[in-house]
Amino acid sequence: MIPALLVGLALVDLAFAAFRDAAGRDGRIRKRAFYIDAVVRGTAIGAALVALLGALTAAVVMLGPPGTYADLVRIGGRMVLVYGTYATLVLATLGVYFVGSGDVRAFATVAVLGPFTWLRVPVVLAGALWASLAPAEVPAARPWALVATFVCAVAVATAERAFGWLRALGARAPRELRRPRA
Amino acid sequence: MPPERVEITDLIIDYDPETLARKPVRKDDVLAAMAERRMGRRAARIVAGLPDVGGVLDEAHLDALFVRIHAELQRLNEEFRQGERLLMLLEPMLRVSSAQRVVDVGCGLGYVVRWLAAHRQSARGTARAWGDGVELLGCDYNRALVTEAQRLAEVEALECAFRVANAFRLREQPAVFTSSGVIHHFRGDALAAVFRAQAESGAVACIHFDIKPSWVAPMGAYVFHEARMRERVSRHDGVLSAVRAHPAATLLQAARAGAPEMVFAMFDGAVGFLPILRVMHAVVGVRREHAAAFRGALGPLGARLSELS
Repeated sequence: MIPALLVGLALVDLAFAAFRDAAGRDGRIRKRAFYIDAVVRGTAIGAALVALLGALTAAVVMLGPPGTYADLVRIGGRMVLVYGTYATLVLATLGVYFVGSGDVRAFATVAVLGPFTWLRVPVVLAGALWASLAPAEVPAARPWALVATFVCAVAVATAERAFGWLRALGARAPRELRRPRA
Repeated sequence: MPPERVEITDLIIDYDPETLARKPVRKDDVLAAMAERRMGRRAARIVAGLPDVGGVLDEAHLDALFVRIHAELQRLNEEFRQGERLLMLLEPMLRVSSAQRVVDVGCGLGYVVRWLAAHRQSARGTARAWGDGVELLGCDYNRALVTEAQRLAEVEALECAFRVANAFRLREQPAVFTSSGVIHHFRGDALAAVFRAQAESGAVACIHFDIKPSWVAPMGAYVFHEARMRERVSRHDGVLSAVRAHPAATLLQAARAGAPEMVFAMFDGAVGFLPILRVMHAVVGVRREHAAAFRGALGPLGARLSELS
């Protein structure tokens, strides 16, 4: 359950990161297709990243001492608590933004959506740090679990920047290698 | 006392006010002006990192930078629904006045003008229809921004136009002048001069939106620009814009001194208990003969407008 929840949270977060990476790059008024394209591509790249991190975590579990998986689940439980709360607040506010009137939308943006985007990286890293302070039942497994935890947390936290790098690489690629824009 | 700090974008580009021709800007001159204004190391580092050709800031690089900055700004305007905000006032204004043209001053990439054009197209033939036959025009000194604005309008087949021009020296009249986030760039006597030039150019009315100064505005601007903007110049200038935004009293005083033939009021001018609810305010002006009709046409929105005087 915990691994599935973490994968789900990571995919949602990476989809939003892809949206933010696309935002402010296309001056058109009607650009829903552009955003959908960016989010779909971002989610696909995010899924590949999550699969890679899953493989890495599996390797850590196999190479580590007995109890590593249980320790990871214990740490992951705390991460789900932090990231789940953060995600719930953001998604609920986004819902309010889309159905609310002018002032309510402004409040949603100014009080939550903007500041929470600003706090995203610290929340990801602080969440991992707090989770890693969970009591360890098998002390020998803890270093292994910590490596997997922080590699995953840093990878997800920096993914938005990676989207920007990928976009820049795409812009430098020969025209025939680029996908046409919607 | 050192001169006031200004946005970097106000320093790195310059135009001849008469011909609107671009003037070369020397990087050393910008850095010296910034040092005199005590704008800090961070700002100096940003300018020092800009490419130059023989000491003159590279115009092609600046053009591309300005387009990127304004695309990011458009994102903020989209998020804060600046088009809808302007239309709330513009639609009743057009209904009661003889204006056949809306001129956006310092339009940049023309987001607001293009949004209005797109909205008008989609509302045509419905109960939300407005402004049929009204020309939507954006003016800016920056040719790169105007060219991009025109291109974007053509891509989406929007009924609006953009010009490299001084908005107050157009031959056509009468007009409603609008702007978003521009008015704080005019300081002291220049602020009143804007309202004077606008009235002399045959303005029927004006709606100038800008950031509303409050205790929370600079902090909010910092958080938003750090969260949303990629360009370092945008991050620097966005916060400074919130610091430099004119209070309502300054705007009204300058407007009334510059254009006594019009009456002015603030829309969303009261800071209130929670200033984050309404982050923008607007100085709204109208010819005296239209004042009562305009207030009446606003309906319940009139409660957010101070006294027109």
